[in-house]
Amino acid sequence: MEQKSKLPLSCPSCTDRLKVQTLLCENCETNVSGSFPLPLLTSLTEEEQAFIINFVKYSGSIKEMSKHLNLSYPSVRNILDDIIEKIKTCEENEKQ
Amino acid sequence: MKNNNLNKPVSLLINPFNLIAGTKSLLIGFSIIVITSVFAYYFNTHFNGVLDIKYGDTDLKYYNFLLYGIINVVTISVLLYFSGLIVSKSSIRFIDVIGTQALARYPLFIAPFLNAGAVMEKFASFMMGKYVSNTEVIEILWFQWVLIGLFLTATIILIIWMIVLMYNAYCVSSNVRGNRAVISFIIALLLAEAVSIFLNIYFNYNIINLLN
Repeated sequence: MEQKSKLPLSCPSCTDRLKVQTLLCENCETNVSGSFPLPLLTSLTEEEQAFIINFVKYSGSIKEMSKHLNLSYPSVRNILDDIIEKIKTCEENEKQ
Repeated sequence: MKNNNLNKPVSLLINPFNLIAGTKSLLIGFSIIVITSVFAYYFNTHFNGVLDIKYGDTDLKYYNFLLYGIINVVTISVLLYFSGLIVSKSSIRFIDVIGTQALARYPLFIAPFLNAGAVMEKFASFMMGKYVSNTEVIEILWFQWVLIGLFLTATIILIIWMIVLMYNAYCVSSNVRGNRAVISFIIALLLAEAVSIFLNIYFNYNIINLLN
């Protein structure tokens, strides 16, 4: 079974956030070089990303999400609020 | 995001609010309060404050005991709701606060049974006679002292358990954590204790006067 490699997000040396330098087209093997920032969503953990995907799937309904996750309404709302807070912090950090 | 720890027995005993809140917990919590008030009436157990458990024979009717439960839940919920509005960055629903606070009082269900046989009531009369009214001090046998010690310890454990539940209910329903949660909870709890004692005296005595 092929192991899916994990996208590194921070520098192993100084822990600063990494940027994409090279992109590859697997069809024609063209390399594109530059300095591209990683999408904001990659700042979140895999669990948080899965939460956001499910949240969109359930039309942004906290009630439906609480049924899906088998959690109470305020617990789901708290997870969502924490993610919102984290995104805001990441946005502020990127601006600086 | 699914957390299997939430279903562990200890987690359910001290924080069931990650799984249940809002209307559902209000209905369950209120049902337990009603059932508890029936036993409290028969075993002379008074919850005349948010944190109070007292034992003693009085002229109070059944609805006074039910009123204790309602006053206590509403008082603590209103104060914690406003406390949450001040300290939390999240939007808070009152139904979550009152629902979780109602359910948080379920340890009190055990309290009336600690006075089965009226041992605690006897102890209350003994303390009143010796330290308050300076009247005749009733005799308590050695095995009754053992029971009193056990039941007193159990009563304290019940109150601590309830406070832990109330705190967890507050954290979940208002999305607050850390020092901010602890300090605001303590302030709201102390205020609620004072207000609920006042309201319990005011309403219960007024009801007695109206009926007489």
